[in-house]
Order: sequence, then structure tokens, then C-alpha cells
Amino acid sequence: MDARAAAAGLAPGRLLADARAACPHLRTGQADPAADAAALERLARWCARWTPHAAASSPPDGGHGEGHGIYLDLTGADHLFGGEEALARDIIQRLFGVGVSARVAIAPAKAAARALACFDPRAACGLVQQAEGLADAIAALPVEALGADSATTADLRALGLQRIAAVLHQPRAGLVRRFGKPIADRLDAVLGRSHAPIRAAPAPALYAEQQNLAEPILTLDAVCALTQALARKLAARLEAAGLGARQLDLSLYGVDGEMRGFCIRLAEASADAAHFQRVLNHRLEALAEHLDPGFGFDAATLSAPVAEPTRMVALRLALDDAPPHEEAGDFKGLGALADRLAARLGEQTLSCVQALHSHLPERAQTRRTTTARTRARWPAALARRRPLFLLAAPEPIDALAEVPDGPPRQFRWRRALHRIVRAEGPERIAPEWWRTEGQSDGTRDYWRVEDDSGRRFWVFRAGLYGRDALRPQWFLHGVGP
Amino acid sequence: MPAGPTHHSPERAECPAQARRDGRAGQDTYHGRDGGAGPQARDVTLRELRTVIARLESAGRPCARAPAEFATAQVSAAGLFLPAGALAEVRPATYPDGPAALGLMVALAAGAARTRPGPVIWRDPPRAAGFDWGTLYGPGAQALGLDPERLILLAARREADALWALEEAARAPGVAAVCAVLTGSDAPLAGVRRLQLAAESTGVFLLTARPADAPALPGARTRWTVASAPSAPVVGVKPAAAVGDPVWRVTFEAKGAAARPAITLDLEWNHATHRVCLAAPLADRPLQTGHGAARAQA
Repeated sequence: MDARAAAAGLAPGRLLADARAACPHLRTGQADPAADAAALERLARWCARWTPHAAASSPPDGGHGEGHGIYLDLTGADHLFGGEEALARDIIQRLFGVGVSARVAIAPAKAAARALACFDPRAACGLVQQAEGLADAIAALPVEALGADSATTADLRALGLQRIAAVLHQPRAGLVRRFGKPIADRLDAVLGRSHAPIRAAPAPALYAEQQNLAEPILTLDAVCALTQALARKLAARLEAAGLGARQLDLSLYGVDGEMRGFCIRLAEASADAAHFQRVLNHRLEALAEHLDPGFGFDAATLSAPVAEPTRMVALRLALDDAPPHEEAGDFKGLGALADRLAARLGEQTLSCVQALHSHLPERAQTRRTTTARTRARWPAALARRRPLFLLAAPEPIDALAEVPDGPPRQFRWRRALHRIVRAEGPERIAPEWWRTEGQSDGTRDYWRVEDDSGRRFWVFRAGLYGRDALRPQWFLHGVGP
Repeated sequence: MPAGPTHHSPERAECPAQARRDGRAGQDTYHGRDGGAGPQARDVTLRELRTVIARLESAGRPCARAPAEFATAQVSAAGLFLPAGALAEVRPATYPDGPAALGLMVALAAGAARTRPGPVIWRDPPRAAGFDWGTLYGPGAQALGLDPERLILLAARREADALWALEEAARAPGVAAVCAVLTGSDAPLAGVRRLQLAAESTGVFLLTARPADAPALPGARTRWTVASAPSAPVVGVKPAAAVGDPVWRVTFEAKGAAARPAITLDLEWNHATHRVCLAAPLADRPLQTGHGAARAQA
């Protein structure tokens, strides 16, 4: 309900038919408290341009009007914008620019600021209330400004207590007996006698660089140039502190009140501005279609929420007897490469294979991301008896064997007939009895076979004659080399 | 060592002008002496043109980088080599020879990894026609001399993305080899060319595998066409009861400065030395295959 509807005599709680009769050109829509709350949350994040502590607040009963608001903790932030009055004006102007008519009050306490913003007429053009006149300003407000529940407020009104001043004149003990302890708490809160912190959702990053722009930027090139400047500054600060970023968050504040951004995780702690820039550029290019600038961005923040000490690499001084290979599994420069590829193609782009302690061929190897790799020993003894390529799942083949326990003499796989000339085996691999889930059929007898043209296959017979199945089935599990 | 495109750019910038000059001069000579001492002058002109083109293609630069130690001296003496910083193309002779071709590629990559430090980047074959053999298996790679700990797998679905990622990998410092299965018959030539230039600038080994029926990649310095061949019998074991080391029938061809006509050899992976060696022509080989075929028919 906006101001013009209120002027026409409408109020929340009236029947729609009555409202239509009183005001025929009324525009109505369905209430959607969840969407309202989400929009308020987005707006609160956008308000982080003034201070990192910005929290949205909705009335607990999802009610109308005065309950919705955003708390900003401006401690130490006002001087950046030319004082509290200038800041209040800036907030109103910028929010007006995105289509929100805001009432702003700056006060020493959270509840006091809320009461003044909602009920003091001066809040429409930005009200700054210092601590000394606070009690008088609050006393002049109606009792609704206390923020007590609606039953209490109605009772206060019924008792003839219209303004907070009247409530303050009442003996406190009597008030508490009549209305309970909450009324006293509310009175203390609005008068600034008790302090409640503002809980902003994300903790502010220690290492963050922000750039406010006089004119909004629209093009990808401009955004890249802006992030480059931020990356340089951030890298310099991190380097001075001996730290490297493991994660980068880029937030772009749109003129339309939307905040866009993304986060990039890095493979290893880095304080290299060029590397930041490459990774950010790749991600920006990949996101180009989705990063709708709307009417442009007029502020950007690049932060490193996760920073770790960088690993110092000692220079090798002995040049003549430098070993030809570095330690396996510890590749220099791979982290930077992994970051670049992950920024553009996704985090699963690079992976490495790792040995697992299992006799089952499909469980003996796993894939890890390059950052999650750990050293593992590959058992050399079995390597010669393993194929070069392992099928994702064993494929059934039509095989003929001379004797029940023997190797296949010939088999048909993918419609091609292979005559076996040489066969080595069997290698019997039993299922892991301690695993119950996803366990396939019983014991497998693996054979390495070679056909008459030299192609090699790794086939197995699932199950044993006379024990598991009447006629065991043959499968092909791997090929090569 | 003068390396990298930046160093060579002035020379390259001069080349086209010189080529035009030479080309025009050559044409004039050819037309002028058409009726007279033709063949000799034409030979001279052709030789000049060939040197100019070779210089333009920058393949004429002598291969200053060491070839990979993938094979024994015997194989090197036969003329097979894998130069660093150049594109090598491996392809199966027919579709079912795919695992054999990739097996040789792993053996070549193992040689590259012995020559240069750093990881081996391997682009997994996407599930596409030509290479649907499953995923590279660590123990199998280990058996061909490539330490799985040094293996980094690269997954990129689209061919253009893969080429970009491979180029980034080839430019990255401290990578031993970049191996890729490029299945797309329409592999973007510009992307392949950029990949090749990246490999030239860092000296990384660059190996690509192509399906049997795909067109050849232009600019490949060495071409390896691989077919499987029956393995040699294992000493002391009944021939049918043991599978020997893998044998590949390789047709090798080199282009560029070290160009040489195609030769076909039987190469065998030697597990004892972790090198590729020449397969000894054994007396009982034909007998054995005949024996197997006869039994299969029976």
C-alpha cells in the first residue's frame, strides 16, 4: 500500500470489495511475503556498499508496512561519505534512483533508529539523531513505535497511552506487572539503554578492495579493467602481509539495486596480481552472457575471504647436481594452470588418478581434483597384468571355452569375432565381503588374452562352475595396449 | 638457446616479402627458359622455392630440442625419433587398433616424461566414435613406463574448449608432455596451429591421437600409424599359455627439416628396460600364428 492509497482512505485489513468501492481505480496484486523478503535481502546486500554490516529485517508476523527495513551499522563508515547527514542523503538518493522511497534515520541505538525511521515524519528526508536529544525525540512518537506486539499496543491505546511519553510517565513496576517484561525491554531498547548488535549475514573479509565509480560501467572490457586495478591492490596488500588468497569474491553493485558476483577458489594460496587477473578474466568471459549489467555497475569489491600463508620456495643454489625430476606429485605451476582452466571450464576440468587399496580393478583407481591429491603408492607387481583402458562397466561377451575352467577360445565383442591365440591366467579376484552395497556377482576369473592379430583384452568369467551359476557369463573389462 | 616465437618474430616478418621476391624471380626464370635448358633451371627454382616455403613454415628451423628417450639406440638408429616442441600425430591403422595406438602414445609420453620434468597432461578420449575404449587405467600406464602420479587428466567435452585448455597447458611452465585425443574430424585448424606454436615456445612434447578415418593434422612433424602385431613368445613358457610384451607395427614418417620417407617397423615394448625396442623377427612366429589359425578353424 503506497502513500496515495493511504491518502485515499485505504488501510490494511479492509475488505477488497470495500476498498474497490471507495477507490474504483485501485490496482491490486497477490501478497508474496517470501518474494518480499528475498527482494529485501538482495537490497540489503546491495547496501553493503555503505558498510559491510547490512542486515535486512522483516516483521515476525510477515505484516504490512512499517516492519520491513534494513539495518546498517555505520560505525566508522560515515566519514567516508562526508558525514552522517551527507550519508543519509546519499542513501535516500541512491535508493530513490532504484525505485525505493526510503525513510532513513541514524541514531545511537538500533531500535531507536527503527522507531524514528518508521514514525518520525522527518525521516523521509534523512534524520540524524544524536544521543543527547534522543529521549525527547522518542517520547514524541506514538506507542506503535515501541515495536511491542499488536495486543500490547492495542491495550496501551485502550488505556489512553497514545505516545511513548505517556508510557514513560507510568511507574515501571506497574507496567511490567500489567504487560510483562517485554515492554520494559522495548522501552530500554528504543531509548538506547540496552544495546543489540546488528547481525549481518556474511562476515566481512579482512582483505578486500573496493572501487566506487562516478559513472556506471557497462562493457565487459571496462569490468575487466576495473577488476585488474582491484586485483593489483589486493595482491599488494596480501603480499605485504605474507599471505595468499585461496578464494576470491568479486561483487559488482548494479545501478538497478542488484548485486552480481561470483567466487573463485584457487588451487594454492597466491598473491600474484597477474594470476588473479587471468582467473577473473576467464570467469568473466565465461559468464559474459549471464552477467547482465542492466544499467551498469557503479561499484565493485574484490575480496579474499580465505587467505593463507603462502608457501615459500627455497631457491636451489647447486646448479650442477640438480636432480632431473622434482618430487612426483608436487608440480610447480600446476596450481596456476588448474585455476585458469577451472575458471573457464569448471572445477572438474583437471583431475589426477590416485591408487586405492583394493583388489577390485574398478575400485583400485579413483579420480581426485588436483588440489585434493595425496601421495599414494601404485603397486608395481600387478601393473603388467592390467589393461591400459578400463571400461566403465564390464561388457558381456559371447565366449566359447574349451574346458569349463579354461580361457575362452574365441569370443564376440561389439559384433567382431576374436580368435584367441594366447591366454594368460586365471587371476582370481573375489568380491570384497566387507562391502555389501553395489556388490556384483561372485568371484571373477580374469584372463589376459591376445587374438590372432595381436590385440589384447582383459576378460573374466563371473562365477564358478557348479557353485555360483549353472553357466557362468563372460565379460570384457579392459583393452590394450 | 634462442627459443620462442617472440625471438623469431623479426625474421618471420621479413620472410613473406622475401618469398614474394623469390617467387616472382623464380617465375620469370621459368618462363624465360621454357624452351631452352628447362629441367635444370626448373630444378634450381623448385629447390629455391622449397627452401623459402620451409623457412616460412618455420618447420625449417633445425630441431634444436632433444628427442624423447622412449626407445633403445637400435630404434633411434633406424630413424625413429620424437622431437620436443613439435606436433606428433599417432593414429591407428584401423578402428580396432585404437588401444594399440594409444598404447604407443603412452609409451612415447613415458619417454617424454623421462626427458622433461613435470606432469603429463592427458586429454581423455571423449565418448565419441573412434576411441570408445573406456578410461585410461593407472596400472596399465604404469606398465608402459608412465608413472600414474605424474598423470593429469583433462576433461573437456567440446573440441574447441579442449584445444584452448591444451594450449594453456602447453604454455604452462614445467609440463613434460601434452597428450590429446582429438576425435573431431573438423578439429579447428587455427586451434591446432596455436597449440603447435605454444608447444614450440616451451619445448613441451605434444602428442595427438586421431581416429583411423580422420584427416591428417597439417603441421605434424612426425606421424605414427600403429597396428597391433602378435607378441613374441615368452621364454620358458608354452606359447599359448603366456602373453608377451606388446608389439606394434608402426609406420613412421617425418616431415619438416628432418623429413624422411615412411618406414614400417615392428616395435616391442620391453618391460625390463622400459624402452621401445625392435621386435626380433623370430623363426617360429609364422608357425605359431598358423598353428593358432588352424586350431581355431578346426
